[in-house]
Amino acid sequence: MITTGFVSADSRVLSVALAGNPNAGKSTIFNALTGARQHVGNWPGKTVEKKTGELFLDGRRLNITDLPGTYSLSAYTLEEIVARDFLLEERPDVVVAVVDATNLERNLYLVVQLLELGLPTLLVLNMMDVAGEQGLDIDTVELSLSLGVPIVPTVASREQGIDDVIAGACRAATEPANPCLPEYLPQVEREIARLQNIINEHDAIRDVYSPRWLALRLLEGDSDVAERVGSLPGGSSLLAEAIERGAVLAAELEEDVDLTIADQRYRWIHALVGRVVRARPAHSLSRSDRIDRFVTDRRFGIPIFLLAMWIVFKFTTDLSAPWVDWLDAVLTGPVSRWAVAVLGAVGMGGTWVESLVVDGVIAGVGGVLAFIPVLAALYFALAILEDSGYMARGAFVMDRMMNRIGLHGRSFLPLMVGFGCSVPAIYATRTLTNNRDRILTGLLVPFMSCGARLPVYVLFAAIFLPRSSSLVILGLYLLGVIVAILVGLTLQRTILPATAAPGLVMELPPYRLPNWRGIRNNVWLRTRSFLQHAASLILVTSMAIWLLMAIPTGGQGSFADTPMADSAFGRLSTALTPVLRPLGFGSWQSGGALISGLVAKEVVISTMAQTYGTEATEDVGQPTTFFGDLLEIASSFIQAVIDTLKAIPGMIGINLGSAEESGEPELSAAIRSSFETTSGGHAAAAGLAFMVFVLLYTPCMATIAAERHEFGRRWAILSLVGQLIIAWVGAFIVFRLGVALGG
Amino acid sequence: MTSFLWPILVIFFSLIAGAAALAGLRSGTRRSAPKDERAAELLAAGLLPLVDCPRDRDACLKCLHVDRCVVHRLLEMGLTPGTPVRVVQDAGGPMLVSVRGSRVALGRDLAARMWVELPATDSRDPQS
Repeated sequence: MITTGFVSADSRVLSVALAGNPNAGKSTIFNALTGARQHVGNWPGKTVEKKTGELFLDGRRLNITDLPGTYSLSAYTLEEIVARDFLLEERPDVVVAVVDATNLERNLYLVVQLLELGLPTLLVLNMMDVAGEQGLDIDTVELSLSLGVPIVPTVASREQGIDDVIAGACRAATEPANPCLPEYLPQVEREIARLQNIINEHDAIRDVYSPRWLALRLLEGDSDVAERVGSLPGGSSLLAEAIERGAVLAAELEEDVDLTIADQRYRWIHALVGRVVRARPAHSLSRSDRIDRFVTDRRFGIPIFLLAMWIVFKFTTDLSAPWVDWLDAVLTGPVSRWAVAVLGAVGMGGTWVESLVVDGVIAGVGGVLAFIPVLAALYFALAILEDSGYMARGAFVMDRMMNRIGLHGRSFLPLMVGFGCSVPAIYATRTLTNNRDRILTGLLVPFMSCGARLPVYVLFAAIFLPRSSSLVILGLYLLGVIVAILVGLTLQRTILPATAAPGLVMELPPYRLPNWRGIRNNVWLRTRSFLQHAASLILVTSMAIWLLMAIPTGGQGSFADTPMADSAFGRLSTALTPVLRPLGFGSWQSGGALISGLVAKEVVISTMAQTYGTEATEDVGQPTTFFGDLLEIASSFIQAVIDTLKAIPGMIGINLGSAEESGEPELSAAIRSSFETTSGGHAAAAGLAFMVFVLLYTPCMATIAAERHEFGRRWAILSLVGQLIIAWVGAFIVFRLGVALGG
Repeated sequence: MTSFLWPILVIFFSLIAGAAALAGLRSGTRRSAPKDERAAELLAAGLLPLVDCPRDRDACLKCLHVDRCVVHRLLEMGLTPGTPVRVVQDAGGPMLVSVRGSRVALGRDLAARMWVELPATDSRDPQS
């Protein structure tokens, strides 16, 4: 029932903030409220995901913001800062506090802090069905009276009570907040009253903060709030007084003030929960505990985790591969043909425009689209891991090992995904909750050798070290890991110091069945967000390379029809050779391959084929009809579906199918003789150095675009430059060692 | 091409698993509280660090001997002094602790600095 009688003309837009503990079902409620009308992005300048959405109701618009899940409103984690800043600065019309009904005591701690903030609040008791199953009988009327806030019980996973949440939020927004708050010890209350009096004298402060909340925070020694208040008129005198009174109080209590206040808050909540909840569960092993006995076991924990990671890895690579191939086939086949036909019809066939459209635009769009199946598959797997509660277990199991190299247990997953593709791996760092850990992991991800680099190793190992090629390839993978560890340790000692005494403190939520609707939403929104943010950079880079290859710089070529050696691209590659000479592969062909490798590692070999002039003439193909093209798209689509289904049983097993032949004898010979010349007779050493360079330098522009999207421009540039330097040094060492050892 | 990848990754993963197993064997049995004056005092008072707390026994959290910034994390998770706690898993890495109806993983070094009191040893079944 939605009542709209109280709507005044100026309150047709209502700002609603969703707050709550992690795993309280906040996102499920958010999805149920907003449906597909959501925007996912990052909070300005932060690496915390920001979700907003709208809801229209009787001509009224509700702007809903999903705040990051937090356990309190103190400003010790990035999530808490983001959530608190939003509440303090945006002052939403109503705060919807989502609470896990099966865990009232811990959840109410945040609620009490929200109430102290003085904003109109609606309490949503979620997961009432699970509470019922556990034999919890919650007296919601008594709870509502005791806290002085309206309460709505819900089962968000089944969308029960969502209409009541909307109605309750609208009503709460119009009524002044009048919560019942915990009384602290008399000494504390005395000091609160004293500071409140001072605050009330300063309009500039009183207008922004709830006096009681501010007095409490200042006594608790909250430096973030102190900084904000200090800049307001009258703030400095208030701060001085607060520091003095805080010291007096601490001496009187013989304990830190913040400790006392937290303790009192919890005592008050404990008593309240004792009054309103009957038949509290026996202190016995729950179903989750029994699963955890096995899953977090000393012996089984790590094997189970590695198996889970293996499945995720295979899922993102194998299931998406047929779709990547399908998109590629459609774009290079029918779509390119149509473009050529259309351009031909308007009299531009065979001109540079055709080349721009086919080799620049369509190829660039293909480069972007190729990531969609991979990212969608990854987001799907991640959402299941997160929703089911396993992700936290994985972090628990891996924590000790990852700690040795200064990383968090949750860092393992993104690094693992990095063996498939660096782009989804960068986005997978979202499972890390700490900003510093996220950036550190994100910077290490590119050193995990991605799938696109493998063909380069395969070709070069076959050319230069044919007898030990498998060993060489394995060595390269391990080298990437070792370099990542070294870089990680270096970063921790320099620009990303460990936050003081980390020590894991992490909740393991109970195991739950994933919510399919939420997962679907998640996959769609995050994939869309990638398209919006990373696509432009990938497209621009692809076009820039095309342009470089198109511009003639002498010789007899014309625009877009020039031999590669005479193009601007050739010139640029030639300019690079002095830098590459100490590495043993100072030819313009190698330089060109590495430049185009910046766009995508997939094209390193094809660029070499072009520059060495050994490219096989492409099939022009029979002229086809429009209808025939559509048929081809459809049949290849069906083939992709079949291939995906075929990939499922192979996901857990290891299919040792026949190795694809990398036989391009002409190209191999050309590379060999070229490297022989540039390295002064140490071709094998130069070949190895080239592989090391490909391993260590920037995987591709898409990765840089993802880093910029996730961590900001500064870190993306650092990653780009840092990796080029590391790659050069690594290749140099390898080449010199190889020469010294007589390779 | 991708068929190359599997044996490589299998070997790679076995290496990780092996390293993990070795690490587990070496440090899995480490149980000790930091040895300083305060620790000696607390031990004398009959308290014991959470790392030494046996699994599935009801205990009472008494004292947090940790950094201020970590104290806040612990407090907001409900780990206030005086709270009943219970170790539900100790796999050599972090400890898994039941507190106020939720399960919280605590790093081992951290758990060595959190002091608990076991109820006077009577013949009560720890599972009850």
